[in-house]
Amino acid sequence: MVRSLPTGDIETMLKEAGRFAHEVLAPLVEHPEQILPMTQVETLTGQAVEAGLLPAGPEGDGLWGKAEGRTGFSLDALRLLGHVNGGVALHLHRLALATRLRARLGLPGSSTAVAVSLQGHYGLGRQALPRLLAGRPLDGQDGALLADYFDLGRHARVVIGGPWNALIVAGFDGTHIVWHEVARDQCAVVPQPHSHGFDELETSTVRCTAVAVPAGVAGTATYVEAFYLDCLGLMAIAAGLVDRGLALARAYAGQRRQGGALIDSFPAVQQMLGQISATARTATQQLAWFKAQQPTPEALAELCAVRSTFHPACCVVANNAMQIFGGRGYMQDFGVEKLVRDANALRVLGGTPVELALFVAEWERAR
Amino acid sequence: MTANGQALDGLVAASDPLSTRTAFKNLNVLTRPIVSYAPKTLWELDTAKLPMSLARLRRRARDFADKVLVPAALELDVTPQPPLGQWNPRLREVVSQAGRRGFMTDMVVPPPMGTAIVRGDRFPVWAIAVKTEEFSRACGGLMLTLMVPALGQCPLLFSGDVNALRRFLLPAFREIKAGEPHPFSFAITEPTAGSDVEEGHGASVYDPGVVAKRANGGWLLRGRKRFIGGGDLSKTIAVFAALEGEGMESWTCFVVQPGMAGFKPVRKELKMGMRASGTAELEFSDVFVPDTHIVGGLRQGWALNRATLNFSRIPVAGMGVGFARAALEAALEFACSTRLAGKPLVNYQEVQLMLAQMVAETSAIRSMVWQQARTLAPRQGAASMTKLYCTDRSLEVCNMAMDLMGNHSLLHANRAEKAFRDARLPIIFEGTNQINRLAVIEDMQEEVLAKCLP
Repeated sequence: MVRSLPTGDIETMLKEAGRFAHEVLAPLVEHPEQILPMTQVETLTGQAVEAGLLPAGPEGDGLWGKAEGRTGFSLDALRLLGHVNGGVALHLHRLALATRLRARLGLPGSSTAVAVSLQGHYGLGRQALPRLLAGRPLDGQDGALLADYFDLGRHARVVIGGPWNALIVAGFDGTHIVWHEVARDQCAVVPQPHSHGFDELETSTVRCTAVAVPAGVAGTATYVEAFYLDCLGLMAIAAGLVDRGLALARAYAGQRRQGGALIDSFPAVQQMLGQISATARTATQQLAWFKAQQPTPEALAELCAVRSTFHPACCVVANNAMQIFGGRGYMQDFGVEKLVRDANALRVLGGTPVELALFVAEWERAR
Repeated sequence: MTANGQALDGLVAASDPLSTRTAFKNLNVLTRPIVSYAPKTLWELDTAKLPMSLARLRRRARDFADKVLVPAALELDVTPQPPLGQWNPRLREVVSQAGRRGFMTDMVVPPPMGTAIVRGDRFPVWAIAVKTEEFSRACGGLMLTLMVPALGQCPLLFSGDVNALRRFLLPAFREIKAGEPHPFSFAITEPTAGSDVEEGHGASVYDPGVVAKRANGGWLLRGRKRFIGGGDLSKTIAVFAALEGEGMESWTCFVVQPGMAGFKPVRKELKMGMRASGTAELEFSDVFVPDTHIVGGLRQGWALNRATLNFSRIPVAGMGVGFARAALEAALEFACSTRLAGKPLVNYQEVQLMLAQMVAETSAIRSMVWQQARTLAPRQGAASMTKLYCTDRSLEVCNMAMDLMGNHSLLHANRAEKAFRDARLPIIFEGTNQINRLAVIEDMQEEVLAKCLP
């Protein structure tokens, strides 16, 4: 049963997202050493639709919903979810993105178990992708690089997501980004168990020769929007991890004694707590700025620049949280080590800091 | 090692007239030998800088790591730990082989009892650091399983207690050399005390968590120890306990062995990395330990503990070098085998820059380890600064490797993420790196205070 929410009522939607995060999701993940089974992730997907987090259809509301002003809701909700469990947050984010993409591109797929692959097989397409997205002319080398970069038949891509039987994938037809939706059974999918981070999701490498370029739906502008929203979602989830790290580390430091005193009174620990807090505050300010932006090419460049420094900072503070816990931090049952791994994964998804920096430099070169 | 006239993009080929390889060969016959050189791998170049006995050890350790540790590493990293007290058969075989090849009895005791080569240029700390690098590069968990016994042996050796050596060490060495695993453990950490037992300031006000109460002919140990490497499989455990009614200054080292009534491993930890190695919590319920199991005398435990840490922290830094190398090698392999626009990634300048930085960082921390390890008696400050700096930088190299590999770095099979998980632990154990920073200052107090005087 799909429950309709009053559109425009961000407060109500956020309250519902909070209820989902704390009352539905949190009890399922209270033992971080136990990996949430995929069947449970599937069940949660349905519950997220009921809670208004996921759009019930192409015209629905929720994360990355069609209505104006939903970016703010999406960022706040993903941060809330990331605070509780990064993997489920990523899964719901990508599902919502897939729904939006289908609606935008008029893709015919109807599966509710769908994954999205925006990146090619390695990096961010060096100088060629920013040139394409900025609307600048491509030379022959650019075209060849992008053709190879997006060639899903030749190169395996890393795909992370919940249970999926369809994949929305970006390609390149020599001039534009093109989109395809392919069924899982048309792809060569190699599950990659024991991957770093997002234990509750499936990480796999995927090849697909059935993707015929240029048969896809052209949409470079949609790629800009999708890439922007994906990066924004990754950033919001990372902010949630930072919030979680701060809460865990603060609570632990406030009750753990060393040398007869609580460790949160020692400068060595205060430095680390302060750094975590500073990163959380920075995230709040940066996300607030992006809430007011539209997914334009310029906003994408701005976001890439911010992410190139934000994600390394998140990794540093996740490590700080672990360090405050000492030996306990290294053990799976305290939950901090998962934050470290998930933060690492978010750093390398959607472009690593090095790739993002190159993307921004190339973007600005033609100004 | 030849490139057959080929060159990476943006660089000159070794056969090009502008290459130093070629240009130097055309110099005057007198200067040529001074500046000209043949290509060698980084590993060969570093090995050539070692004293002969350590170079030989490094070659042996690498050979063992490549043939025995690497093939088992990924499997043992993801295989759940067996129940308490039970061996994973593959791990047992690795330990058995290491023992037969003399890698677990070679700290300081020469043949016929041990396997150490005693020479003027073979500093024991350096030798262990060379081994920890080679083994860590192959697998953190296997390295820990093979090296923790050395940590457990340290208090016995440092005690100079002939009785302890004769009673505990030599029979164990006979077993090990015959291929029968005999793990040792070093039990200092307590459930409510990590850093307190690793630095004097904290220890001065800490209530000991394991207490020894006098009994007829011995002592009754009560309490718990936590995060003990290999603790559930150990046959000889150096347990540090305070004497009843006294503080940490009364710490005494007792040898506890499985089968003693009241001794029980109670749980194993689920760790982020180094997962081939079990880490256990040990319970002591009035375990009777005879006087003959006291190592080095009553109230000598604190000194033995600190001496052990001074000795072991440089090899821990060596672990960092090994993890950095593992990450670097994983990244290099990826950069050579993955193609973009028809050529291997290693041709792209941004990839070359990252690799060069990783090479430089790894080389820098190795230099620090080898420099500080050239001593018979490592000082607290030197040991701590080496440990904290090298392990911190090692994690940074792992981050660089993951960044180079992008989202492919998340895949277990690509090994970079494993290097990260393994590299994360030495930043915490043997004193967090924060505690080690304070240990550096503590050790230079006289110098500092002299400057503070008017």
